[in-house]
Amino acid sequence: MLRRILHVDMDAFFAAIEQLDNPRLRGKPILVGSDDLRGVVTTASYEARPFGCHSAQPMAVAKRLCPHAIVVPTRFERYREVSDELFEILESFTPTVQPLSIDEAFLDVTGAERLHGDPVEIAGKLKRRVRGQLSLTASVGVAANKFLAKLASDLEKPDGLTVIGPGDVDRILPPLPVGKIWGIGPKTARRLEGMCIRTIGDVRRASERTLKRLLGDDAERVRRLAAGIDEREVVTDSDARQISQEQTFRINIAEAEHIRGELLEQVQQVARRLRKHQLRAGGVTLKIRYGDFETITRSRTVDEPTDRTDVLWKTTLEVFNAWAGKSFQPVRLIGMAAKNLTSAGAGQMSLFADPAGEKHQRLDRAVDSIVDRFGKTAVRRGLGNHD
Amino acid sequence: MKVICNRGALLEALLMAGNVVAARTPKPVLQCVKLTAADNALTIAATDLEVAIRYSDAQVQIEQAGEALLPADKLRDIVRESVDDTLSIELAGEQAVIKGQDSKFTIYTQNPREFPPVPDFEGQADFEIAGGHLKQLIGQTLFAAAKESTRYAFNGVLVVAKGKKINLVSTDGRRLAQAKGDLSNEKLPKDGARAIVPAKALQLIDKLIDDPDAPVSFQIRENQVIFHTADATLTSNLVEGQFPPYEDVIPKDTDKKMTAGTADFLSAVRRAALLTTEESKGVRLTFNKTGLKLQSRSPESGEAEVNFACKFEGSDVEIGFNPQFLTEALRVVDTDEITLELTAPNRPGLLKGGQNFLYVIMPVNLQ
Repeated sequence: MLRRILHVDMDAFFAAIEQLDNPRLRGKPILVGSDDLRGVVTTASYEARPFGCHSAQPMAVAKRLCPHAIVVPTRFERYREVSDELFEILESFTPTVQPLSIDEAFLDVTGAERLHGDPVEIAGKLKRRVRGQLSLTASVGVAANKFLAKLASDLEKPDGLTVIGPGDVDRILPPLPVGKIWGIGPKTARRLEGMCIRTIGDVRRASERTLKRLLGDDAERVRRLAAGIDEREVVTDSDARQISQEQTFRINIAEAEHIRGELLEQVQQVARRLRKHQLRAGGVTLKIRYGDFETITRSRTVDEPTDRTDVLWKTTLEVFNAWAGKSFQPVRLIGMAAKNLTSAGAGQMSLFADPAGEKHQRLDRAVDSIVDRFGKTAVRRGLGNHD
Repeated sequence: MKVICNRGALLEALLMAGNVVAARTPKPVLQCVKLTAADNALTIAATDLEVAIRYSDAQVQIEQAGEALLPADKLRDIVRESVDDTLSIELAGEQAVIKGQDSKFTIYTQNPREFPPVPDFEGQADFEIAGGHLKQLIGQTLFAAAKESTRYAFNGVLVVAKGKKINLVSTDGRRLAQAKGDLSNEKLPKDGARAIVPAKALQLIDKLIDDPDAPVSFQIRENQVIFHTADATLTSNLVEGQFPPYEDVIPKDTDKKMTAGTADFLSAVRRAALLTTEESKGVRLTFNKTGLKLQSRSPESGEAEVNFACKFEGSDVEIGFNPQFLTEALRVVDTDEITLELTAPNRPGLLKGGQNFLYVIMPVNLQ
């Protein structure tokens, strides 16, 4: 069956929010990120981009390229707040929403025609809702699979609405550089370029043997993507094998307490998403990346599947403290995932009432309803005593 | 100290003591066993500070009384790998020399005075029970205790002694097993006791019992239980915490009842469980006048259906259970026939095997 996939990508998300919140920044080149020695640009506004500024660039370089740019510090909490509203809008069109990051998602709108119109109409409506409700712009790609939809959203940024229909594939894809193929990073792209494979068209023309030699087991996948074939499903939180949050720091963080604080934020969000999707987690996984990009994971299971913030936090903290106690070193990225998900009503029932547990569940429900009404910063847990 | 030991008997004693020796500990003495040669027996003592054991090996010839503290794993390995019928162990200064016919091992010892005291069984037993009977009661309950629950009381077995009756109860919060038995001593110095005994202590006492007819004596102190068999004394700290109000969750208002052969029902559940997975751990049981249908499905592999003829009284009902919870109980039932009583799909089932074994099992919501 022909699928209808949308890829929604917000335009210069962090910078746009800063300009929204502070009218004096509108229309001006701004760089979001920290203005210190090792600072990195997290987002450059569209006004700064003609000067060569872009995200992940050292702040010092960006400032040299665009000396009159205004540097604004990153406010993740505010971005997450807007992101929550964004995902509410997305989920009003279809339950099949796969979050890719704070401001990017796939939607499967196959079968939503009767309710919301054809996919292009849906994309238009969606863009209008985002503009109306959030005063921000999104670029949307429409296609029959995830790869093409993501390519499409990127073609006419910002504020684009791009369709890659079955008839467009052979016209649009061939001239694009190989780096546009999902999973081909700069290193692989350079290796391919070494063999004169620079565009998707070159990939299509390359012999099976050449690709196999250059890409190994990945060759078949790349060849299919180059042909515009991608069968990956849109996976929602509730189908997901895990629900996770992670945060990359600008610099390596050496204070365990700082990392605990970030983890607590993540646990609260993950627990809230579990409850929202009526799921329970059978365990947690902690993901830690060091400055040298080495990444480790540490897991622990819980007594019985849970969606309780306090249990997930206690378990996460145990895992973190066990790691920190033995082998702490400065951390570049910290993340936590709830895994072994089961639906909340299903599964083994308990023999004994757990009055303390029920109290925690009431607390979680109360916090959820406050957060739903007033936003995430309205109420949240403090680190407090974590012994 | 110098003793000549029968190697087989010594190995048995060391393996038993090895169950207690702490695996990882900052205190090296806890990785040792203490040998005491006196009164025509060699006593081997070990402790991990939670559980302590004294095992008496009488198949020895004491040449010179004394005591020594030796690393448990080294001593066990030497005794196990040796080929001789007898071995001699002699303390020479701070070294122990273990000699066989063609071998000689010298191992460094530790100061026995640094070893924590391992209590002996003193005074009169509070209770006595035939070894075989205790083994049966342990077998019928220990499996249902939790392994590593954060509710500590779930990690042990509740032992209640009253009058001439003893009652063992265990639960992991999802099912509960209760086995009733009889005490064997004529006179009871203590009129009742209630304690949560750690699973590890019960596993050990189960291993220590080799003569089903010989009595096992025990004493329950404020925070300890002390078991005594012919060869050994086992002391264990009790599990702290409150055992849940288990009597309240034993259903009393059931209105449906299946009666079936134990082995046949076990076989039916086992077959139906073949296509369950770790994630979808549930077998659907549909009861009606004609019998029972058991079904399971796994998204990856397929579906199973078993039709089981049995006697069923009451209105039709459909309920899900974790098959493992059923099979584990059916394996320890000692009667040929069991009953399974039910009320509703979201209420616990009550499995009974004779007068003395009952098992409460919470259903699985299959949706």
